[in-house]
Amino acid sequence: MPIGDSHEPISIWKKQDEEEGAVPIKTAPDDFAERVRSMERQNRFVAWSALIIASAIAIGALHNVYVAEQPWIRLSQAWMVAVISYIFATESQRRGVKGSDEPCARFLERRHEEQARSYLRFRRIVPLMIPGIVAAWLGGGPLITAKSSWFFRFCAGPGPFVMIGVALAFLWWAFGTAAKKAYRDRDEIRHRIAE
Amino acid sequence: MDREQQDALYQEAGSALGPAIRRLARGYEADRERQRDLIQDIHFELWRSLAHFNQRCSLRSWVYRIAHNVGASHVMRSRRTSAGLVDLEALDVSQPGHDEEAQAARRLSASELLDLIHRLRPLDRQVILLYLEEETAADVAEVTGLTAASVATRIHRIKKLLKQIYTEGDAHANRRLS
Repeated sequence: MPIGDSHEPISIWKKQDEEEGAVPIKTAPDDFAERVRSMERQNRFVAWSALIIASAIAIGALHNVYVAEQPWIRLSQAWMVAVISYIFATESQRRGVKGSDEPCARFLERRHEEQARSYLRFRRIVPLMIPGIVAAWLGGGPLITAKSSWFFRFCAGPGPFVMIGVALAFLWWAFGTAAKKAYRDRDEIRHRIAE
Repeated sequence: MDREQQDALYQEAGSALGPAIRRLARGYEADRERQRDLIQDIHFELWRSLAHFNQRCSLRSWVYRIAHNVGASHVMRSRRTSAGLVDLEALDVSQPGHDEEAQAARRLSASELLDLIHRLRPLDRQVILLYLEEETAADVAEVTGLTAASVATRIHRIKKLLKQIYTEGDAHANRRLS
C-alpha cells in the first residue's frame, strides 16, 4: 500500500517500538501460575465474605420474624430473607470472562448480551423489594425505628414511602435504559457479522 | 494439555507476536502505565488460554483473538468512566534522535494514527490494527469473525481514510470516524 515515503502508516505503526522503546513486562509462566493461584484465593475470599454478610443479614431478619409482634413486620422480614437468598443464589453463579478464544465479533456480541442480561437481572430485583417494603409500611416499620420527634412525624406521613418509591422507579428506569443500550450494541455487532 | 506444552506454546507465541501485542495494546490504551497493565493482562490470558488450545485455528489467530478480546474488554470497562475517550495528551512521544525534524514529523503521524484508532469502536479498531500488522483479509476475518467480504470493504475504507490523512492532509478525515 504505497501511500507516501516516511508517512506510510504501516511503517509508522511498526516503528513505534524503536522510537518509544519496548515496555518492560513480566512474562514468566511461573508468575502467571502464581497469579492464577492468587486469583483463586481472592475469589474464595470474596465468595466466603458474601456468604457471611448475606447470612448475617438473613439471620437478623429471621430473628425479627420470631421476635416481632406485628404480623406485617414478620411478613416483611420473611420476604427479606427470601429476596436475599434469591440474590445470593443468582449472583454467585456469575463468572467473569476476559480472555476468550472466540472470534472477536462473537465475543463482543456475547459481552453485550451478558451486560444487558445482568442489567435486567438487577432490574428484576427492584419489584421484588416492593412487597417487603409495603408489608413493613403496613406494620408501621418506619415508626418503630424513628427516634426523634421530627423524624417520627416524617415517618408517620407518606414521605418515606414516596421517597423509596421514587428511588425504586429510578433504578427500574436506569437498569432498563442501560439494558436497552447494551442490546442495541449487540444488535449492531450482529448486523456487522451478517454483512 | 500439560503445563510443559502450555509453556512451550506460550513461548512460541510470545516470541513470534510479542512486539505485535505491544503495538496492539497501544491501540487500546493511551496511558503508558495502563498500557503496561494491559500487555501484562493479554500475556496472562494468553498463557491461561493455551491450556485448552484446540488447533481449530492457527496459533497466530488464537493469539490475536485473545489479545483483541482482552483489549475490547478493556475498552468496554473504561468507557463507563471516560465515555469512550482516551487521553492522548498522556502519550509519551519525547525522545529526540539524530534527525530530529524527520523524527518529529513521523511521531506526529504516529500519534495521529493512534488518535484515529482510539476513536474507533472495538470491532473497527480490531480490523485496522490487524491491517497495520499486515495480516491478510482472510486472516482478519478468521480473527474477527466478520466475513472476508466485510473485512475487505473495511480495509478499503481504512486505506482510503489513511491516504486522506497522510497525503492530502485532510483535517476533516479524523472527524468522519468520531
